[in-house]
Amino acid sequence: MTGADRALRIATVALVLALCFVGLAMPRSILVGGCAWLAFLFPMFAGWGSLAIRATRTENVVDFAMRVVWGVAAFLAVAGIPLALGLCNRTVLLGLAAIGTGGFAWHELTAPELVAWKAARRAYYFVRTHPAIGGAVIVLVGLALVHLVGAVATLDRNPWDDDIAYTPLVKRLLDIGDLVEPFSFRRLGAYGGQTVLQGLGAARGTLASVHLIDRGFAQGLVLLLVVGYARERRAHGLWLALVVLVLLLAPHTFINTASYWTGAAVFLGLYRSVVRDRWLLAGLVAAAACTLRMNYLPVVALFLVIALGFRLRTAARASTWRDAWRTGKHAWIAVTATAVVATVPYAIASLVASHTFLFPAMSGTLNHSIALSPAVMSWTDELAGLAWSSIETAPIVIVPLLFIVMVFVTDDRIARPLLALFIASVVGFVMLVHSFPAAGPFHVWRYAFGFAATLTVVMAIELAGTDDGGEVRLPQLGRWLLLAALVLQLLVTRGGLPKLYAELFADVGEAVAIDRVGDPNATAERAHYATMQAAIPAGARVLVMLDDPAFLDYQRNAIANLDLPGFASPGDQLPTFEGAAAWHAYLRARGFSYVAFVRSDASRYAFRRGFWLARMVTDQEFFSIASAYAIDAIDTLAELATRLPVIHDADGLVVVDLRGDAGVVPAAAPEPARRATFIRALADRERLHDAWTLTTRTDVRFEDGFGTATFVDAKGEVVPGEAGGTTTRGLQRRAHVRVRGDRAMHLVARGKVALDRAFARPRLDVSLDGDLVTSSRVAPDGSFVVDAVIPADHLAGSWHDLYLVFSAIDSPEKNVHDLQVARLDTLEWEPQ
Amino acid sequence: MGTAVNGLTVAIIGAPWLAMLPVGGVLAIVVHALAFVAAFHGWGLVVAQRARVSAFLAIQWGIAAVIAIAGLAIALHRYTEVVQIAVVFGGVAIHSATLAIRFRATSATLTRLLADARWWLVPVGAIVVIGLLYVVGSAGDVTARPFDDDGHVLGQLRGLADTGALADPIGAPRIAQLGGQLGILAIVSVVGDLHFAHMIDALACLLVLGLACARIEPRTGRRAIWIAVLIVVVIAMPIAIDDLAPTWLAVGLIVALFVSIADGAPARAVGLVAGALIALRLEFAPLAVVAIALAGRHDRKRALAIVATAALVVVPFAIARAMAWASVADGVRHLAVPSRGGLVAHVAIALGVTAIATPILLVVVRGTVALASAASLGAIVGGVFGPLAFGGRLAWPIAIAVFVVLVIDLARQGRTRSIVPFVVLIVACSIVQAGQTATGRMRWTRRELDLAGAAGYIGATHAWSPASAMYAAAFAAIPEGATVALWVRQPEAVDHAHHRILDLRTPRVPRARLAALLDALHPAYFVVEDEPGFASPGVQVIQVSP
Repeated sequence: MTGADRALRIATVALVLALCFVGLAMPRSILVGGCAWLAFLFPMFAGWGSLAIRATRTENVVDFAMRVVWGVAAFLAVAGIPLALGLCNRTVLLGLAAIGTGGFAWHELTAPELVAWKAARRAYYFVRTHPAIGGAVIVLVGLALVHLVGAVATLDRNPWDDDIAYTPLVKRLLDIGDLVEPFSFRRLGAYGGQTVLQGLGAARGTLASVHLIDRGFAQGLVLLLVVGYARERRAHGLWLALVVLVLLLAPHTFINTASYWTGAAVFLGLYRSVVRDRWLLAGLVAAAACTLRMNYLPVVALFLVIALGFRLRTAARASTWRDAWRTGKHAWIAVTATAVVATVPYAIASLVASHTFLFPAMSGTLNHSIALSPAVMSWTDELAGLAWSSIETAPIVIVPLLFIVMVFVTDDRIARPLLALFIASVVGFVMLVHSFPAAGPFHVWRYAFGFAATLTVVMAIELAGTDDGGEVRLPQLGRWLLLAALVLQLLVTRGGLPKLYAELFADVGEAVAIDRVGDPNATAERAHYATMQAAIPAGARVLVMLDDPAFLDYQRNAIANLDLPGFASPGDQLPTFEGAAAWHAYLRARGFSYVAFVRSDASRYAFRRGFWLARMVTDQEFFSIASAYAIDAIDTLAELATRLPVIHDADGLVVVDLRGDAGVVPAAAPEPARRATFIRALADRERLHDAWTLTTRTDVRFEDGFGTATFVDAKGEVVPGEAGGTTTRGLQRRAHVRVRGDRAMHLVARGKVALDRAFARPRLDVSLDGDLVTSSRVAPDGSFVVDAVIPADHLAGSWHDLYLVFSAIDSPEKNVHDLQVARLDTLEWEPQ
Repeated sequence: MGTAVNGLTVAIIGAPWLAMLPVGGVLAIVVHALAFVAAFHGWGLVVAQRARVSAFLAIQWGIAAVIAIAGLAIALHRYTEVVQIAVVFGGVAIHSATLAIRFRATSATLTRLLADARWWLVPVGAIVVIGLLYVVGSAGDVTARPFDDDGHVLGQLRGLADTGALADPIGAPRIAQLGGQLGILAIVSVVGDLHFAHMIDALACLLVLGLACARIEPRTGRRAIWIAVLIVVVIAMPIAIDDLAPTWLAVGLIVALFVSIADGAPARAVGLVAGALIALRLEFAPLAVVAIALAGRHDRKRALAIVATAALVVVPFAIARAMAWASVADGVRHLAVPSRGGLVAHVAIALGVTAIATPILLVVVRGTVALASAASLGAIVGGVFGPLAFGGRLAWPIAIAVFVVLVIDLARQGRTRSIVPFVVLIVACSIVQAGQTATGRMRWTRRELDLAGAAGYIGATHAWSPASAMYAAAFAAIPEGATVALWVRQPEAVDHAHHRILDLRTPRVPRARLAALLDALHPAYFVVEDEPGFASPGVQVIQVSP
């Protein structure tokens, strides 16, 4: 080590420390402080990676990105312990960051070759000697930096997820070091790894840069991992550029701050660990992936089992299964032991918070009366769901084409990692579709982004640099198809780019302005919340239902956040649809002395009653039910405020002192019955009875052949739900309803056919399980009424298929608009 | 392996007979689809005789043979439901008997195929799964359009099943077709419900993919990728097939014609396929004629044999059509089929389009395919056989067939160093993407969801045909054998056996000409179902003449 070398190494470490200092010293600065902190996180995690490499006695010849991703995994594994103990607060997180910084300094000052300044020098010489390629590289790097800075500057959050749940969880973690939120539905479905990473992102002193970790740090890490792997596989530069562009320009389908890019980063790291045969570290990264999103768990587990299985089989071919197991079992043990040890603290933390470590297999604090899947799923429904999600695959729209390519890839490496990841991803995808049948492809691919993006990237890189004689082979035609598909992906995304960059630069502009003059909105809101919390005695236990619980001080009070009312609650569970007295009794029994909530008319988004009311009669089943719970919570808390002392009521924020008498708790029916009664009574009260008849409910399910319920005005034009009007559902020529009943039922359906567009007065045939119930022709004005009684013996058993079939409702030539030709205004299904 | 292969052979021989069992629902559709495939194969083997031919090409020949048989039977007024059933199970019997006789050879072929399954297993698996969804979903799509652009297809199928003839010149004026489509669709009566007619064309889609797969012979990854690309393009392409005009049946026959010509197949097979295409739709006649002309240009004897066989298919349909027109007064035809005039202009446009399209197509496909396809495209654009508004729909089968032939050629030639495969792949990717982003029924997702949803309707068949009883009550008042002009929504629910039915309510006969048409036809009765502003509600029987 020469003197200059030593000086440059020390300068590198000093630079990293300076970045850390700037980040911490400028907590209110979005852009400067945020970018410095973002830049600091890379070497800090690389330091953790170096420590992990040292601890596992792994050969230290990996690129910077792999060190970072192993560092992330090691950091999460270590951070899990204080999280489980309820100690993972800001101080601890910053302490862990300090350890990582120390690890980086140690590496930089002791490593013989792979140090930062030498890498920078090599990059500089490459650009000088290859000016054309270097120019392209500079453009791509510049583009990537624009995205990363944009991620730091973007302050917009999802009010439904981030404002009411994810950001408050981060605040809670930083304030008191735990994630014990038994009333939180979001906490129920997550181990907490993403929250811990976001906590580190916010540990410098601001919660504003909510996208710093996922869209900033993790996206940058993915790009570095891709570049590192492309160099390792000697992939052609053109392919690398294409892959980088695909990643950078992929359509934004990330609607909140949950794990997307972090998932892709750890999956890439996991894949590369398996390729390198680093099983101990692979186990660590696998655990990190699982802590980010629970739905990653089966994919991670399958990937490792399949890869290890291939490894074992290959070894067995050369000897015997017994010998193969004897020599290969260390890898199995290493992976399993590391993954389990690193995951257990998160499982404990989840168990403490939500009474489950394997949601939804173990329901934990989930409301036992709520089903996350539709009550009836036929094989055709499953098939339709799978087909739908397999075709509409945004943000990676070329998945069907990639599937073709992947099917014909031959991977001759001992663990066949590419094939293993492909199989695991396909199985994971099918499980996702099966688990969330009503979610639709947009959400399915959101959840699958981590492994889907990884598979796309590694497939391209593995196949880019090889000829037909490599370890990973594909006929040349397949590579052309892959190339064509990647080009197509870029072409498809081009339409959204102007908007993307316009928004990005607007965000940067806003961040610059905030850096200069501050954020008056946030300041005012923070002051309102502080005033409200000041009304509550310090140390008191309080349940909150607020738009922005992240403004609360979690150290001052024991706070429980009701993020999606009614969906999660501990013990006997929140007595929904039973009124204020029942809530009061339950909360007092759980030790709560106060409840704080935002009045419906002052709520920014999440707790507006009118909004939920419209959604209850127009949205799909899951959200219709969620709407009922939200309205019940809004009404119940408002009622509590009339029965008990209100100690704060300003700016729409209310605090109720629960330490009084709220009345007698009435006897109640089981919750599903209560819910059904509540929804119906509410609909009647709000003059939405007809709208209610068009909703899926306990004994009626609207299946294929119907449009979504929408509000229309007297002219039939669609209007917003809050604006009033009547509700209607578009009808296709054939429509399917599932019904059930334990006695004779009276069916009444009313609607109308647009005769001026149907050019006919069609007949409407109604059949139940294939037996004709009634057949009638629409009236001269196009209206129709079905009025029939279904005998009890026809309704034996569970659900029955009711079909409404028109003899014609459309012009033969123009079927595309058939939904606009007939409509259903009401469908009553009542006991006779 | 040996036992498993023998078992598989036995299953191939015996499975089609499951259609004889009284099964219902989705299973009935599946076993009948198997029976249809076996029947086509059986008749294809008859055409092939001792010639070596792949099973899927034989199946296309079999489809052509069934159309030919249908033509003869229709001309003789004998293509009743019984005959239709006999045609199907006759073909199945030939299939089973032939395979049983060739048991060892069949088993040996299967053994060879299974030993080399690495590349074809996935594409074939995909074809089977997709085929199942398409066939079952299309069968369940019972509320899809019952028309093609010439008339109410289901009504004519009912008439065919009841009377064995296509004697109604109004209901099936067949401006651009001779009746081949009705002949092949009629076999659906074996399933027991004419509303399942859409399954035949969907089954043909499966058979086209099978033919392409068999031609490409996926022994290498490159070939297998071409098949996979073809499969994805076929299912993703943004076209909405929601009527009963031929699509995949035509694609299959066109591909089979080109393949047969390229292989030097027996003249009877080439002639049969060409004749079937002409009988299917007259828009395909230029394609068939050009292909025949090019196929036989070096061998006059072979050319004559091809033409003679094609004529054998076409002439009976033509006779049946002429007889139908002859059964009504002269003026009727002019009222039912408005004169379009200007044939020379239409032909001139057709020739112009052909001249432009041929060199473009020659860039990617061989001469016969390019010239023949261009000729038919020219005829369609020129409106030689009917207005472009209706005939334009028939350009799709030609385009698809050209693409299939192109993919087959690229896969077999192995031109991976040429730019053409890459361009074709780009086009394929773009088609897939267009399917993903199209709107309405052209959207890939929408079509698949419709198919999956439609499968649920198979078990409720009588829910949409309660009209039968209503019509039967109305016809009870009409003396048997009387000529009845019909204007009802569901002519397929009318018993055609006991009256002479003239179905007037087709897209071809505007209501404005109805009165004049009734005057010219002079039927004994007019049965009309309510129309806004036309008649009082319900089915009315009006006595037109004593």
